Amino acid sequence: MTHAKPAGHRAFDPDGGVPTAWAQSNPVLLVLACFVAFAAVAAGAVHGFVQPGYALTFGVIVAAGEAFRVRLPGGREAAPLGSATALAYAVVTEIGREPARHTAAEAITVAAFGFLVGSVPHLAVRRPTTLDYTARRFLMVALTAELFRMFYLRWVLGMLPDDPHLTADIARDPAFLTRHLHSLSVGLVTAALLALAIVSDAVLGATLQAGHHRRPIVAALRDELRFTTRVGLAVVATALLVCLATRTMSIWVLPVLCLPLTFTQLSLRRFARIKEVHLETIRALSRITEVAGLTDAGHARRVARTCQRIGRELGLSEAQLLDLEYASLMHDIGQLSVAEPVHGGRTAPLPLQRQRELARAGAEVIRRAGALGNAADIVEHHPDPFGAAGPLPSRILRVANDYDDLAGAAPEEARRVEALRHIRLGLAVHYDPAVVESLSRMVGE
Amino acid sequence: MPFSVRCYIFGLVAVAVATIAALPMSRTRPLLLLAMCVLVFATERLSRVKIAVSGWTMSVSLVVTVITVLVLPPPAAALIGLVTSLFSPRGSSLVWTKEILNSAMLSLVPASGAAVCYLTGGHEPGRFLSFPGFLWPFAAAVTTCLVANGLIAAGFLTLYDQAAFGDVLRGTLQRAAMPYYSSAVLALIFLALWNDIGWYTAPLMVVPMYIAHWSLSQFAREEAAHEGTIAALVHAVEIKDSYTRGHSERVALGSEMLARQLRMPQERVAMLRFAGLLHDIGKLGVPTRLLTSTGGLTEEEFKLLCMHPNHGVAVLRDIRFLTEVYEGVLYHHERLDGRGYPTGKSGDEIPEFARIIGVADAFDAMTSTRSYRAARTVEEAVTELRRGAGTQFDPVLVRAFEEALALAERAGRPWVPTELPAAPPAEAGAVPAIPAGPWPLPKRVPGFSFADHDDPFVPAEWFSDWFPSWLADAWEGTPGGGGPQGPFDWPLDEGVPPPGPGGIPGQRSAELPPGADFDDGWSARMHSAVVRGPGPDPEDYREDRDERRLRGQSEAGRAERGERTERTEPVEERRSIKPVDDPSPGPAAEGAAGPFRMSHGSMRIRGVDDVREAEGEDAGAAGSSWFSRDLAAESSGPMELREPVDAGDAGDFTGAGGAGDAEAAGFGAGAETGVTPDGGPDRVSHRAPGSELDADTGFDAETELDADSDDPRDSEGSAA
Repeated sequence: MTHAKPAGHRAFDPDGGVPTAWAQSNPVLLVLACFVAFAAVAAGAVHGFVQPGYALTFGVIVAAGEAFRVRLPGGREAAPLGSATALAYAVVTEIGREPARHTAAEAITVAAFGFLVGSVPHLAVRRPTTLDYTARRFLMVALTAELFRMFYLRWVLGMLPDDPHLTADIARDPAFLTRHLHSLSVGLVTAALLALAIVSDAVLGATLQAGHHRRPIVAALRDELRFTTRVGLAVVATALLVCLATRTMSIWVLPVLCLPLTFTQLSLRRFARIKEVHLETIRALSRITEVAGLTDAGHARRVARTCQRIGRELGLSEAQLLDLEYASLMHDIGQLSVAEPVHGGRTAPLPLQRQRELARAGAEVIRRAGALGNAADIVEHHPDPFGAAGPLPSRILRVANDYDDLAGAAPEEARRVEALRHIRLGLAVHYDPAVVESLSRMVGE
Repeated sequence: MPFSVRCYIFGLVAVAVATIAALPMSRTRPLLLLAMCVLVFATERLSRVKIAVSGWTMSVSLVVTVITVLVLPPPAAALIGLVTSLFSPRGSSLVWTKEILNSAMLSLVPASGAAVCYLTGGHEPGRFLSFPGFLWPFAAAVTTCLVANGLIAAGFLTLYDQAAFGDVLRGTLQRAAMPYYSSAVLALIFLALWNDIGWYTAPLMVVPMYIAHWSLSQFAREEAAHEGTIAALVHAVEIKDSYTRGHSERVALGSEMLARQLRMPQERVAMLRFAGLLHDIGKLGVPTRLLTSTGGLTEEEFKLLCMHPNHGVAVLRDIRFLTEVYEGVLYHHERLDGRGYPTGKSGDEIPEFARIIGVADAFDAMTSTRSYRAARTVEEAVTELRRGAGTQFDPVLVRAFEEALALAERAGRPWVPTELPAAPPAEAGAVPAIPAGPWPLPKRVPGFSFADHDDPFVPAEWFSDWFPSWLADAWEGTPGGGGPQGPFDWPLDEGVPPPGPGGIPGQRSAELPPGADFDDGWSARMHSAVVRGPGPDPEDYREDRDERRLRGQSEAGRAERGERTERTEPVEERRSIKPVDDPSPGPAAEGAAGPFRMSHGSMRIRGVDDVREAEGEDAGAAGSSWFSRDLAAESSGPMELREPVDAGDAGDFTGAGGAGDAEAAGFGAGAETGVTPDGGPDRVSHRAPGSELDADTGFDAETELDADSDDPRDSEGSAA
């Protein structure tokens, strides 16, 4: 039982090491985003920028929202303020009773500027973050801007906003713009385009995740959409509000409208922080059984890592994965409350009855904690043999736990294979074949 | 309830009633008023969610309140506020004072906002929704609402809880600002869009509002879950020992009271609570046998015990953001005079968190029942704290804690000593407790078990010359230690060995038990081994001891080897302690009944030099080299801490943690082998062939390692 660790060691990191932002990002996505940005800047430079004051106002808010983006536990990132402002600039049609005459290229340039400036602080302090989310947001804005500006200019106005014909039309009929721009159909199309932007972002995210974690795309998409419904809804609503409110209330209303999203983002930051502390605390407290000499050093965290990988591959949802993480970290906690704990914590060789007793004790403790979701059920059922049809997370936990009991801390190839062989002996009786299949893929790597 | 609080509430109610009474003068349209009432009722009933652990709630009705502020005169706004408070959903408990206060507050807050809006011209006909001209009265009105809300709440809490006005105000404003401003913005956009574009845009408002709600409530839920989880886990740790159950929770509470008394910012209070909850988490690293031991501990057992703060930090090490928490956990057994453990920091070197937890820890230990004594009253415990102020505790903190206790009592939440039903009924014929001193003394000699390591009464003697005054009085004039002839007499039962030499905590005996190699240097050696800073140099100590040993040799004529074999005997004795009413307590058992085996020092721990010497002499004894290895590990670990360790900041802390790791590693080895956590026999006992202890098949680390290399399923045998 040694506690010696390198001094630099800080938090539990499932993948080990702290790669830089560049290394974590998807190169294809980055190249695509850069290409779009350069094309937009070039097009803007050719056609010239109109209404630079408005562009700057929007750009600054995008940058601020981006700089204070929230990194949620589980690696997700949210920057509702930046996205909403950039999207709003893409779909805004009239500011202070004057037509907004910027082109798609200008909208994309403003978004690119905002996202880039907002990311500089994160890159400068070498924060271990990925640029994927920024690139995704940028591409989402670019898509919306292209579609909407095309729609708005070609189909609604039939001409460019600074076209002399338009000026003449407005002079002839002061209600010309209002008739076109305030119609319900334009509003509905705007809303639909914004919703499309959010959904396309979710699809892109799901594709990326499926590629990265070998995760079933349906599960990834479900998670993305579930996350998007909340924050994405707020983004769409705010963008629409900006679009509507700036018509009559000029640019002043923009910062005011952004306040609710700012507060949402701040709450999300606090939420993310407490969630992170919570996870870290649970991870750390999973070590109390080690300190008590009731499990091997690092057992709980190794099991947690294995469970996460298998669970992701088998398509558990994010909520289930979190429950599984809690459960796997604390699955041995019952040892603390039973009268005769198993020294060394190898529960794999124990008779089923004893395993169940330990699991029940552990589930009791977790249940008392109250806020760990279904972790208690997962722990309670994890000794069940495959035939007892416990929930999938329990079956994963069982396999991961027994594998770690057999293979130990720093398993050499031979011992891992031996452990896997033992697991395979109990296939379809004790262990779920699908889980074991996933495990052997992992061991094989 | 104090008079000032009554006056305060009465004043608020009077102002609110006066404001509402002015309603007829304000010429508000009744229809508008009615519509607003309906709106506020609906929103209040439908959408109030809890957004903080402390019970702060938020609802969309705040938007309606702000709308009333913007469009209605002050008396009408006050009326709508009153309606809000009347219809807000209530919990199960109804405290009339708070309800009345809330009603008055919710009436006055919109009224003040509306008044400011009126004064700054927001209610003038041309100004309504003319941007940016309207923004100024709007911002002024909303900020007034916020500040008025904060002031009224802070005023009440200051009077009621004696909290610091500034802190409460700041906390209230911080928490209320977000709901207020976001609601205000929504109200503004709501009015403007409705005015300019059409009613159908209004629902768009609801979405950001809902999301703000959701994220805030998410945060609150997570915060509550966090605390609940930690508490539950700590509870799981404590579950085995009924005497310390709930101890961490109470220490957290005590620390929190103390911190509030010291006017700490909210965030640090939360951290301190956390540290208080987790301060004894390292107990798990100490073998269970020590936790429940009532027969006294040996030196190395006690040393193991002293490692529990390090184990605690070993658990918590990976949590970021918690520097102060680690410090609190690691140093909570330090004493102000530098005689605490594990590092012997003194005075200001001890971080504030650790000092606070130290006070709360000792206080709770004193006011809760132990296996050998009843819980002491709060007064007694406070007296004891005061006595230890300056040596063990920070006098400032002790004073603050007294004030906090007094305050809590005034507020109707006095500290209640944790009474437990008396220790499990003793078997027939068991000896009743010996009442002595202000509270009953241990009925069976308690020695020192982990359960009361927090109690400043018990280990006092080991670390310092300070020990409970009543004990000092009691033992004054008993020079021979041959039994107390104090101011009170001992109702001794027949058959109870009188509290002989060393029978009472804190007693020094002048006479050695026969056959014991008396080594009174324990506490000082403890000091030198574990403690940095002011303390005797270990070298001096060794010399001192060597000298004594020479003397002892000349008297007893014992050889080094002989001494070692003798040394195992007390272990046996200790393990074979029978209940005192055992029909045949051998003389050894009688001697073993001494509570502080440690101060008798019948188990002598030899220094590294001794061990080397012994190895040279007696290499054949396998157990000997083994034991010495352990000792070497034990004594080299703490030496690392002799490096100046300053816990000033996080960077330094990692240094301390590293040293702690080394120690933990050293002790960990001891824990796995020498003293087995599940009550298996000592390694020491293996060296006493033929003793009953050998029959115990304890967990053996070496066998376990062997088993590892075999088929893992075979390890079942060794683990069972």
